[in-house]
Amino acid sequence: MSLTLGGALKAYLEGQGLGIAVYTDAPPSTVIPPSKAPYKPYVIVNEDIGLKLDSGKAADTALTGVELVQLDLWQCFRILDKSKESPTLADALTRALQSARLSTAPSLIYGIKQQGRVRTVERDNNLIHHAYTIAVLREV
Amino acid sequence: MSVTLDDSAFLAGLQRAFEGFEKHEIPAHKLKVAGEIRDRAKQIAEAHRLTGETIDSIEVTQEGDDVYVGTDLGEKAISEEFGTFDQAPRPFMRPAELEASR
Repeated sequence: MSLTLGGALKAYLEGQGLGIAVYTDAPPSTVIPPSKAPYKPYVIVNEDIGLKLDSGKAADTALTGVELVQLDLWQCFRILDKSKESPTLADALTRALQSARLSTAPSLIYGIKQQGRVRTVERDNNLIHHAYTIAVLREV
Repeated sequence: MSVTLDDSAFLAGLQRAFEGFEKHEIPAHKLKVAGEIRDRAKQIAEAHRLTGETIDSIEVTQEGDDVYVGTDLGEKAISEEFGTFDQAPRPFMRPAELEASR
């Protein structure tokens, strides 16, 4: 059982065989950025960027709501003009997230829905950034 | 820091707030919801105010029956909303849209 939603996402995603490490809020200071050898991509989980409770619930039913979470996938951009971005990883992460139930989460998760995904290139840092916005339907 | 955006998902995604509205619903209703999103986004962005440029730029625009909430700051707003490698995200549009959605 994970203590936080971020911990549950980490446990789930790292178990999907995608070859990525997942950290909540920020990677430990010892982690090598994806732009440097061995160019290992990683994901950062930003929990609770928004929470909306479901309305109209009877007093004796569980409190439920939608929590917005942002996931940041960081990958190396280019080395010697050759792309280091995985052509499949971003979609693989989308597929893994969609409808995941997160069995180790601290509260009951009804499902996850990806609401959006944005790709940006940070040339100065030699990084590709995929920012996923996911809605987690869960008990509060 | 330079950031380029590959698509216009940032603004396009904000239209989700209006999913579920029937086509015959009057634009005034859309405008009311859009105004609520704009006001809430400004309120959230206040927590990280530096120059106020981002906050001042959040506006409602209308094109025909379509109503948009967003900012024309582009790169700066995207960096703020989604973060960069050196800066954690400080989302202001998505939470506002979530609270207003039905």
